Amino acid sequence: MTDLRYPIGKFSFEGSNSEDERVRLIDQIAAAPARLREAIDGLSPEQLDTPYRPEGWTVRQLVHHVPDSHLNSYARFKLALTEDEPTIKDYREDRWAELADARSGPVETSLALLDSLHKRWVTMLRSMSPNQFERSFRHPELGLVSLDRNLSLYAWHGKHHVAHITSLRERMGW
Amino acid sequence: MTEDLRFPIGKFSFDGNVTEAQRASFIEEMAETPAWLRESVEGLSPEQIATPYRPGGWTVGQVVHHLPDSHLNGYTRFRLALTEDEPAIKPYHEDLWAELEDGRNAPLDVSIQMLGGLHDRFVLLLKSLSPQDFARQYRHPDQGLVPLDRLVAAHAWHGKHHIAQITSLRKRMGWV
Repeated sequence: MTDLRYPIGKFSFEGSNSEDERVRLIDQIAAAPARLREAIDGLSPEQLDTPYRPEGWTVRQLVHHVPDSHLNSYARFKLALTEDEPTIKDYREDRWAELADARSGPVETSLALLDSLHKRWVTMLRSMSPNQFERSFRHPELGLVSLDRNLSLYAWHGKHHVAHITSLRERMGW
Repeated sequence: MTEDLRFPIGKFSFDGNVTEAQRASFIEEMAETPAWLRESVEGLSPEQIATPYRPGGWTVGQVVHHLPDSHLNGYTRFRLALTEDEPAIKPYHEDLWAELEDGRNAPLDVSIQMLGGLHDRFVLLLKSLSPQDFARQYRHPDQGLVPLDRLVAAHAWHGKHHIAQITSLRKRMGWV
């Protein structure tokens, strides 16, 4: 039985990206807001409030989680570019997803937020030199994380959550 | 004189006591801020957007891009304080963020939309909370413990503060 939590597999990273890979990853980040919008297109309020797997977040919580997660990532990129190996503050994504706006807010709000956040983020990413992708921040549990790794992680992360929704739609025949 | 140009609506002040009516009015101001920001830059040319709001200050564009960057940090601090016990937050260098490519040269619309999305989420959250929630605190490395009531008051002020930098520049320059 496939693991419903990892419809596109777990994240893996080789250690660095070639310049071509970086361009491709940044393009994936640029496309992520449109992919998320397509993934929920036409869903009813009841469908949005359905867990994507037993015990999992609802589709609505997934949609709100993506900008919450990516705004933390955006800030980590900026911290690593403007400070020397800064220690970042991690957050409890499970608890953030239980706050009222993330449980029951309109999905359009988070789609608009994600759209604009990714435009700022991609503008910055496309301006970065190869050396800047070697800069790092320090995560309290993961240790030093290079921006190259973080770029790959968030290109994966957007697709990962979109696939939660599209695979639910497929299973449910929506 | 330079002080005046930097603080067109005065400096932020907070005496520690917030009534429910004041809290509701801060939240209303936060809900309105993105629309006020949009009005403040309406019709400006690229040259005007690239003009510093005061000698040696940020350009109008940098002021606009700074707002979602700042309020994104505030949004994060707010959620951290609600979901953890007096968490130590990570401050950021706003002057250095404002020099990054997107902080200088992104289209203004993008940052106005980002502020709108952030504030929509933020306001929904704020309206769901009980008065006791606003007494929760986070720890800032320089400022010490900061209650959420103070953060909300500061955000309501901070939006108006930067918008007034833009509108007072327009007035001084005759850019109506």
